[in-house]
Amino acid sequence: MNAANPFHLVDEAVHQARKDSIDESEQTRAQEQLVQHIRDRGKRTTRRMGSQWALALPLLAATLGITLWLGGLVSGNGGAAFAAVKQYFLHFETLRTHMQISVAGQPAMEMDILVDDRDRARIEMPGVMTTIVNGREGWMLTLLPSKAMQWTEFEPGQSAAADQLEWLYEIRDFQGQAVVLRDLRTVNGELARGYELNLDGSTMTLWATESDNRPLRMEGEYATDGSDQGVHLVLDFAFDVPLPDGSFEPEIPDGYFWLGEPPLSLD
Amino acid sequence: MNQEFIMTQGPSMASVDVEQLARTYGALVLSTAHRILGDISAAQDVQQDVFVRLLERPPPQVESWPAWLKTATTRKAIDRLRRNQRRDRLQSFIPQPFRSARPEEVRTGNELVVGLRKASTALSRREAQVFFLSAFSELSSQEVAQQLAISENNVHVVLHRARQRLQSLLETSGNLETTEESS
Repeated sequence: MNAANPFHLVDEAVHQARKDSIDESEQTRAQEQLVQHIRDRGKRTTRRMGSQWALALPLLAATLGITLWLGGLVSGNGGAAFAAVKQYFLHFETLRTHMQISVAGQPAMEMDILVDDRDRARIEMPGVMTTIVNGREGWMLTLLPSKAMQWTEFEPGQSAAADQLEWLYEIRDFQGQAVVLRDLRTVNGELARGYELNLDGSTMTLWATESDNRPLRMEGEYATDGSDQGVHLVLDFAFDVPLPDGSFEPEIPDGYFWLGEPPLSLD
Repeated sequence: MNQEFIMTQGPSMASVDVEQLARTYGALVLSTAHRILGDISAAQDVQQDVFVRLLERPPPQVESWPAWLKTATTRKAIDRLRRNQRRDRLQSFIPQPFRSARPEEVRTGNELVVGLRKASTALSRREAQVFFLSAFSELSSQEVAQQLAISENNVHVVLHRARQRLQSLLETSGNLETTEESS
């Protein structure tokens, strides 16, 4: 180990990873499966394109009817409406989100997430932890039920609340097509239209007010890469609501003690 | 675009011989994904995704297929790493009987490499891309800059920042002791 190299752990890990080769038989098997997969997909694409042209005219009329019936998925009006929905996530002053997680139909976890337009966040997970983050100043305070607390500093501008706020960044960055659902629904007492989105492999439905496209709720199954247990998320939004004073301040309740070094700035 | 993989040239986009590309570069894509993910079945999923995307949406112009494929693979593998990491965090809130095991972690032996993969999910997407393309995919800084459409100088800055952050995370996660014991 070369202690003079400030990145010795990174370099060693890279070196180890590069040595980790794939077994030749696995490589051959993967290659055969890949080629077969491409052939299968290619056939499906060709077949679909062929039938599309052969049936073009009869299908056109049917498709128009079906599209009208569905109310559409639609990048035309639907796209414009969803763009208006997305604006709320880009230009809020405050956002309060209540997130519920259930597993196999059983409630597993709830949390409240407060965010403002100054890159500050407060995440409250009752019985688990409270986290207060200031992205511009580059610090995060974590309070645990055991009354232990931890102070973490990071490079300003890199949001350390990314774990809990990744869904927000994904909506903001969403470039795909939103499927507009046909039926309206009442969500939190307001008439809402649904938009189906694929966010990083998870299909989520975002419900927004029919009148002014204000997002109310997002829900769906969380992508679990093969897990057989359904993890269902429900996020309820409230935009530009007043938040309690001091929500984003690093205020320390009585009786708490530091895990690790206390921050100099809080002396 | 490399001529040998062009099948037909349409008015706006070349049609690519994906099967031929897969035969030529399938192993390269698989090993790129495997280095990042450390799991053969996850790497194989990424490999298939990369070529299926080529089939469905061929890129308009490609100067270097190896560099393009390494970049596409790296992006997909990073997404998968981040998704796994998010799921793990989520699972920490889930009662034990409902949690799903993740075979790729069980099979991976080297704790330092596992630590690096985990730490990389704390980087921004851009930092992770620059790091993996430089360190794992062994692209030159010029190639990374071309692939990500950023300046070479920016590549150096982002790479340095990523390495600093990873080193710091590896040190604080206790991998230091593990490595020194094993070296």
